[in-house]
Amino acid sequence: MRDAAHGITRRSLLKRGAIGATVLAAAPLVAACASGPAAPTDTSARGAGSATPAPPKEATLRAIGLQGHPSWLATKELAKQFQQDSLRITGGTSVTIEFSEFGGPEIIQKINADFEAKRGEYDITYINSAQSFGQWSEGSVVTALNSYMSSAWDFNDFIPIVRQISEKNGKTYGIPIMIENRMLVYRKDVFDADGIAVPRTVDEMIAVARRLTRTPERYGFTARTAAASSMGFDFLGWLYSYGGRIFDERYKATLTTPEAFTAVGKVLEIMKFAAPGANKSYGEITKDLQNGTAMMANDVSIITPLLEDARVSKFIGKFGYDVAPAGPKGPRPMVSGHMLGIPELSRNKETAWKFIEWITAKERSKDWVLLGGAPLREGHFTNPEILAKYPQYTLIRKILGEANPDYVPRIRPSLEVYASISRELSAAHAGQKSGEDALRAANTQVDEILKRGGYQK
Amino acid sequence: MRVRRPPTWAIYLLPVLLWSIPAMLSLARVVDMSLRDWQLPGRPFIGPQHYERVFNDTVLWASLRTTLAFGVASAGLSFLVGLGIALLLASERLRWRTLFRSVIFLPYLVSPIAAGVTWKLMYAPGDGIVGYLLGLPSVDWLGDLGLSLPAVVGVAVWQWAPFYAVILTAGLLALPREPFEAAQIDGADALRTFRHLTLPMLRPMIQVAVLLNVIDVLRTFALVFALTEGGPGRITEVIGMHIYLTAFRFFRMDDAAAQTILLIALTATITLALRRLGEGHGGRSRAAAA
Repeated sequence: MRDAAHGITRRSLLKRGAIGATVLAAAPLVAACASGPAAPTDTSARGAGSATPAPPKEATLRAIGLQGHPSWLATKELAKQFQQDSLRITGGTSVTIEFSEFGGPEIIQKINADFEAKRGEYDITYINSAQSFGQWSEGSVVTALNSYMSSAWDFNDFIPIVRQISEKNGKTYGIPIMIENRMLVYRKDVFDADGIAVPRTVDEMIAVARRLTRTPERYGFTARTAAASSMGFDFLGWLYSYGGRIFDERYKATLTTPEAFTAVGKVLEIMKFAAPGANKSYGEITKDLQNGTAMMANDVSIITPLLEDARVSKFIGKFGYDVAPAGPKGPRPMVSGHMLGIPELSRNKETAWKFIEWITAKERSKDWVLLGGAPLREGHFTNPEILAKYPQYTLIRKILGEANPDYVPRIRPSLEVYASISRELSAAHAGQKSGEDALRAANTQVDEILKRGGYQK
Repeated sequence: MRVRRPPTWAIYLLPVLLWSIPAMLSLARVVDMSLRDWQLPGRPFIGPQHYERVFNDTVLWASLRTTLAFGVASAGLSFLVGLGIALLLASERLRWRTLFRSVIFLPYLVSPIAAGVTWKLMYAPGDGIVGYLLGLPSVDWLGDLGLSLPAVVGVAVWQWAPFYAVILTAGLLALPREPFEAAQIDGADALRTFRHLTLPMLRPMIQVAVLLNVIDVLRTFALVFALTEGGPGRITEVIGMHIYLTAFRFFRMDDAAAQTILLIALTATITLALRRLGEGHGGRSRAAAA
């Protein structure tokens, strides 16, 4: 083929196409080679003997946290002040903090990928005691912080459960910025109007839920139904309060005991009166309560500011809060903590610790709580200003006193363990199998997980 | 003196190598991961133990069956809906064709995560618009055992039908007019024309579109993650979701690597089979025409 006017041949077209394709293919490779791994951004000051003062050192911290969570929002807000004052706080380093935020599973994914690729992209990471603490502490993905902590900063001032939940084998792997447990949330106005007493036991709670349900206008209860993990996480509290355990001292699964079967029966019974919806997590629970779909829930204490927010809740001032009803063997001591930790591969560990230390320091912790952060130190629960804004924190302190730091076993495969339970429970809730069959299947899976992980000898 | 020119294939050798080397390196890395134990220090080589676990993993095979059911339903329905849309968009009687062609393609441009989050709200019992429009406001579309997978398929069709529509519209507009005019003269009705002329002539485009869609379907993860997280139970857990959980929630990169190799092998087998099927049909059509 030849175009006489332009001298273009098929061959020349092919040649140009090949050159273009080569350039397109090579461009990403060239870009990748040009940008290396994130290099430390500390810069040295000029040497002594210069007439003008040495410029301050500079450091950029990369922090990854939980999107939309009140404690993370409070962290970012206070971080502005830290950055402005960083020269004084750090003793000569000007610090810039870059924040990125994602959902919990995505944070785990990014930190794990960063660790495997040995990039060291992050300096501060959010750690969840129920999801990532076990695998990251056992896998040395995050660094132990004991050597950084000073007596002046006073870790002992944190309430015991906060300290316990962030420690493993005597080492502290994260500094909590949020501690939460499950509490009973109920519509006080509806209870008062119907003459209903606050339930103290699980059976009373189920009876109240049944009584208050008027399908489809409203439901007596609402609970998490996210299949991958949330249902399993919630179930653990029911299991413990009926005297059950996930596994025994030899790490043999014990989900087929009579206590476990009773617990799952109770869960499935109350779910009959729960607002429907697949894949529900705390956002959906909050919405059910905010718009009046549900009259009760056992969910995280951190949602209370959202329930009392006039911008999103239709029933501010109408919620009551109390201890989650107990099973026959005791309370349902659900607790989880969110922490700030330092990835092992961070090149700015000292500076990252300065930020964590500053933001969790005793002298500024009241501001933290008033901005929406969780109460963590003893003084928070007696401070008049904090209690004026969040009167329910007196109750929360009481609930936290009963919390179990090993609510989720802090072992490497902890997430896989309760995810297995979650999926089987989800199947039972949907009617695919009975609760007992679900626990039998979960028992087999948990045994396999623990055996594979080397826990069973 | 005659200058010897390099053959055409040699011109493309370098760009092909540059395109494929990163993919080959990634694949080699995944294969390496699947042959080691990542739970032990040093990640020692352990041979095919993870593959033995993969072949004995009943949950994985269940997710594979779910993926195939999801794939057949969503790809099939997407094709049919897309073809219908394409026939409309290619019609000369349709006004504002350019506008419609642009708008129709929008769902395909939405990221699967965004689509999943949005449709989860639309499917919500009580205040979701799907239930409202269908007069079934209290149905839990995503939480019901019998409805959850069809609900997910519905969203997939919403996303992928435009992909078929665009490709098939282009194909329809490129078809020569003469055979259709001849068919009209011979008295063929619309259905016979469509069956004996339009579809056979569109076959190459259909083949390409189906192949690309099948590859997409087998890799589905984000949509299911946003809509149902694989629940209720494991009813909607496609293999992509299973691999994600294994790798990034349970931190078993080695097992996930073996599962990924299985998925790659399956994808390659299915796409090869589809190509052979398409070539076989094309060969028989050519033979019949002769």
